[in-house]
Amino acid sequence: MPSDEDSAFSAAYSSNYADVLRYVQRRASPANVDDVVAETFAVAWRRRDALPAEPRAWLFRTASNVMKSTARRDARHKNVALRSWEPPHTGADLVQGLDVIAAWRQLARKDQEAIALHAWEELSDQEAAAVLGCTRATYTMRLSRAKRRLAKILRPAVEPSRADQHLQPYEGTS
Amino acid sequence: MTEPDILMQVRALNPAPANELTPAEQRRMTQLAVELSQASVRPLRGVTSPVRRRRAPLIAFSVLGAGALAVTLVATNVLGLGAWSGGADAAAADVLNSAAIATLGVTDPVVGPGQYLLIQTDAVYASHGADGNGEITSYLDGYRDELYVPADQDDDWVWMRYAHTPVQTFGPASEAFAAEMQPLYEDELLRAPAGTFYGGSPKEISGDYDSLPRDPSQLLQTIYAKTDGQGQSRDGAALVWIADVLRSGTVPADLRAALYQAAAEIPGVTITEQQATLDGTTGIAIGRVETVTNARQDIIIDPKTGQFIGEREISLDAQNGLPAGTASSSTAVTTTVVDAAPEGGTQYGNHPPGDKP
Repeated sequence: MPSDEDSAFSAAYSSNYADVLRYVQRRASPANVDDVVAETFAVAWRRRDALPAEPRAWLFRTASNVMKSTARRDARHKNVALRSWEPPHTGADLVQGLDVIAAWRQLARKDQEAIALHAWEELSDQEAAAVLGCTRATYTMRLSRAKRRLAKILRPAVEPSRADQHLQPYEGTS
Repeated sequence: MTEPDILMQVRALNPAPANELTPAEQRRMTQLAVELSQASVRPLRGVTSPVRRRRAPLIAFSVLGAGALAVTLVATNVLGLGAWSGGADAAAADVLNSAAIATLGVTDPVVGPGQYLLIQTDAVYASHGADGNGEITSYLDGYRDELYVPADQDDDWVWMRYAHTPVQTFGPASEAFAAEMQPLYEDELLRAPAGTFYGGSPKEISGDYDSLPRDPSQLLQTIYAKTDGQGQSRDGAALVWIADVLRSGTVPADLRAALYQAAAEIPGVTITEQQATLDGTTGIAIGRVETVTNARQDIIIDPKTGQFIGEREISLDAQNGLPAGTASSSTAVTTTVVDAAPEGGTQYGNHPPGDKP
């Protein structure tokens, strides 16, 4: 007969597998996705007597740590640590899409992660903070700064103050 | 553009939208559940990352310094090689078989009570990443690991893993990528009873080592079975497995001899460099080219003493921003006996997976 821990693990597994898989797919190189997901749930299995009641953020954090550890170990297998996101080939508005893609690529990875947890994983600030191992207030601030930096990359013209604009004309216009 | 607009656009960039699982993904989910449920019976297979298996120096020491009986038996096998008709070319087979004989004359280090076997590994691996323009760029990263294995293997093992340091870059994008990656690395000190680093278990593999046949042909068949389905080819996967085992740094002389001889039976194995230098030590490189990837796996041996110097993988094509002929990975291994190990360290190093939110 399965123990309570086994039942709790099964529930956590079936309700979070897809989310963990997508989380890892967004961050690991395709060749490593299955290994990272498997290792993440193996860690959860080994700790099944102490899983949080709502394990999603814990699982994401564990997956993130697995990816960090794997990145250290895995150079031989051509792991691309913290891969840069590759755009899909179709888009509703290609030109604008390309702007966002270019801006996204210029964004620091820390900022990408802050935004991704919000926009892709659709986590609450509390959950995202748990994934990153910081306080909720810190995450909220990081997200807000990251969005501001992305906006700045997307529309540099309106970002500087008037004085700065005066001193720093656009490239190619001076 | 307003903030909600920006977020909407970022959402549109999501590389893996939260769609329903595909049938293939569902199959993998089921398969993993089965593996996990069997984990209490047998350690997970395929769940631990293959590189952890490759890099974790997990080995049975009970055979270190094994008695004269084992040595004699293997020596008989070595000397009985007149009828040998293996797969490596004749010159490579000669080197491997001579090395096998020579290595049997080497006394394995004896770890006394309270002492540690220190396995020092200096490795270089290529790190790959996107350069921001959709191109892959690479640089070579240096790794230094020190593993302290206690005389009583149930005691704490200690693993000092130093932060990576870039060894070589290849142009501005490569340099920028290396600079970007460096802050991610840090020294990490691990300590775990019986070598259970990262929650893994060395017992599974030490069992494997004890049970490995010392007869070269049988050993090679065992290796083929163990590596079934891995790599680009059966023979390539077998040689990589041999290199991985040798670089653990703790292979006892009789098994080392058998591994050399097993390598001598792998088709396509040749002498690839007469004077190969790894981490300042020169030996002879024996290897095999994987035709699909055009990459070559070498093991480097001191032909006089049979000492294993290291192993490397060389990409014969320019790839991922690395010039043709670059060693995309190489490992040099040295072992010594020491009286003490560093204090401190945790089972999971700096990134415990059990952090609670």
